[in-house]
Amino acid sequence: MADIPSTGRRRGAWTRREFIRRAGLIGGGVAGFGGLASGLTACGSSGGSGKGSGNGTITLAISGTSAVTKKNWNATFAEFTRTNPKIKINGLFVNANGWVDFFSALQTRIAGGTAIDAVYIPTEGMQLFANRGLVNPLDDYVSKDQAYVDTLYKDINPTMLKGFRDHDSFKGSTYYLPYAYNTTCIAYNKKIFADRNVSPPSAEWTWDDFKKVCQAVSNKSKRQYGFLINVDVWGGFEPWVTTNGGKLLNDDWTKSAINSPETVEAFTFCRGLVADNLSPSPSPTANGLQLMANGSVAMVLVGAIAGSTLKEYGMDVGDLSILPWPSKKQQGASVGVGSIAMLKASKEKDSVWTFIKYVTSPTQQNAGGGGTVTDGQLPIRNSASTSKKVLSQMPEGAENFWKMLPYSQFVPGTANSTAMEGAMNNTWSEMLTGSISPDAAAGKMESDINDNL
Amino acid sequence: MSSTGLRRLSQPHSRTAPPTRPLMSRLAPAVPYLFISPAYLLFLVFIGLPLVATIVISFLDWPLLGDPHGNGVANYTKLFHDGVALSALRNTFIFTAVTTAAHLVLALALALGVQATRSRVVQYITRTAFVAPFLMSSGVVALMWGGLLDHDFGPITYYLQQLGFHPPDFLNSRAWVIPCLVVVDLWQTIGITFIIMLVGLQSIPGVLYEAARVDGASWWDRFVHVTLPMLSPTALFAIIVSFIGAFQIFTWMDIMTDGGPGNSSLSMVQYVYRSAFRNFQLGYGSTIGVLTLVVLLLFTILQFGISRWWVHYERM
Repeated sequence: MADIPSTGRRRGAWTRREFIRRAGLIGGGVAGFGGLASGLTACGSSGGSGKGSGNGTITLAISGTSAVTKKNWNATFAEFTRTNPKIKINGLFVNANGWVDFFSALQTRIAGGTAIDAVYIPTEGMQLFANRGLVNPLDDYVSKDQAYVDTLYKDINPTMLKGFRDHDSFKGSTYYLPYAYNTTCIAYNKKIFADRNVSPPSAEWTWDDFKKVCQAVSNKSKRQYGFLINVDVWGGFEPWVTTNGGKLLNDDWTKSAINSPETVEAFTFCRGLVADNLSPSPSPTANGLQLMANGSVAMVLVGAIAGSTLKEYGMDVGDLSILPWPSKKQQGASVGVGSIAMLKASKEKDSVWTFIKYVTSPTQQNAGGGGTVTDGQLPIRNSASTSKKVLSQMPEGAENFWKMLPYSQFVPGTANSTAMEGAMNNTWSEMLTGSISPDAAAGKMESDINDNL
Repeated sequence: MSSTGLRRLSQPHSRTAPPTRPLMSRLAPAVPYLFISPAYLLFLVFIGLPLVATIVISFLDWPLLGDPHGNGVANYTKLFHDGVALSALRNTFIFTAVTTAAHLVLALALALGVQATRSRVVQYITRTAFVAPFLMSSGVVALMWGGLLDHDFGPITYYLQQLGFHPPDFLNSRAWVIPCLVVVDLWQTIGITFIIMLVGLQSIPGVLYEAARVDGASWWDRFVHVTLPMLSPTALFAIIVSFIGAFQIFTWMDIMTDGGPGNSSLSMVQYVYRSAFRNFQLGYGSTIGVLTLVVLLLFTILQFGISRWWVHYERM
């Protein structure tokens, strides 16, 4: 007992304070080492670690994890590697509910150190990524392959090309080369129309015609509706505003132009569809194709859509027909252009450029398969998107996607597009349910836009 | 290491031992702390460091992918003038208060019912049935309830209409959206509060009830004067756990309503996520996170403070 002090603590035992002090020293060392290690990892990841950049493999981030998306892109990667054996592509398929979700997930991953060499970016994200210094300018590559780029530009619809070129640069540098596009059209289910004895609409239809068709195919008591209104900008309200002669932003995307009589009229029309039970209430989880397959809605917004996607819902290309957006004051649609963005952190920039040239080449664009065609996107080249090979993979009327290009308006893709779109979707949804008036919604959206420019 | 080995390590050295104690002997005093160190380490890595980081980041202007810059108290000034933050705080308070109260009352009622059931089979099935939803993914539950409550295609609206009611658009109605989310929350998580209450009830000594019966106490008297006082420590625990869990609610709002209509179901944690990862204002998102932490701390301190008036720790 002589060795046990009167405090009851054994000699040599550490007090709590002593333990914490010693543990702090050890922990501090470990944490310091860990911090250094993670710092190095972060540096490495922006330059090359894991499957990422720097070892002959390109990691390309893509929105979507469906079997069709993976199959199409993997086919493109395999074909590319067959012709370029030294370069392999690793597809990073990101599960996201829309572009806003995709950009959020992607930026978080990049900030967390995931090594990504290239990203498939639509118009909505072009300025967002360039503004944050993530994307590498293509000026040197374009200069080197100017002849190729010129032939590419010549094979693109001039209206769409102008819209794209207006926004593909940032602080004087070009960051993107167009690769695919998508326009908003409306698909109707032919079987539903036939079952309800409703004549199919014509391609020259107006808002009034559209409403009459909705009234003819809807039956509230049977939970059947004419059209599902989407809760987003591109496929939700922009086409309605555009076909009424309005627009969301001014030409150089520096100021809102949404608070106009044209917008209020378009919003009033859409609110009327919901109030009259011609369209279901907005829901963040609604899936148009699923509802159409169930017979719950007869018409939905579509962009380029392939038979392979329709099969996932038990439908076939023969079940649907595609029409342009109904007009009010003019024809119109929303258009978005996709690009393969080369990230600044990539150590495989030359390989990424080789891949960009490959996927925009006439051979690949005309292949009629792979990632460039019909999985929510059409090949950017006129020669490809108007070809029978491409059109045959989609429902009848798919030519309306490119026929609408001269009347299309670009979906906004500003530096803060995620915040802007999130706020606008919120307001749009609120207006559709009648919580706020169309007039108030247009005013609020103006604030949503200007606050995020 | 065997207990014998442990004892040997902690035994004092004999006089014949060399002047410098062996390494193992010198490390012996650390052994007890090593046993508890994993818990401390986990706390440090997953709670302590992120907490400190959140507080530090709340004073920065950090657009996630750009460089952070010192921002003083600007984020806090912005927070106190932010109507959306106020709305999120109000929504979260209402949701939390209602769901905590409902958890407590319902779980107690269910626990009393199960305890009164004599059949062990029924008890087992009932316990399993109440706890089973908790094992489901919150995302799946949100999608499932989103479909059930859908105004146009959901079965709940359909059957209410068949019964002659005119149900509102539950998830698009400012008045109904929070009550609906409370129902979803109860459906999934009531099982845990129920189990806590059941264990609390089962730990009340039967002799107290016998004594009360001998004294002629009715069921209600026994409930008020024996069950409730003896259950009060368990109830305090259940309130604090339910409140903290509810205040951090995110999944229902994010998947089922996206915070809408308007911002009428936006929760604090959802606003943290939205600010930090949708609007890329990591500093401001952290500031909202700090506010959430402060509110939770104040509530917990308050609960412990007032518990002395209603919680009885006396045991037999």
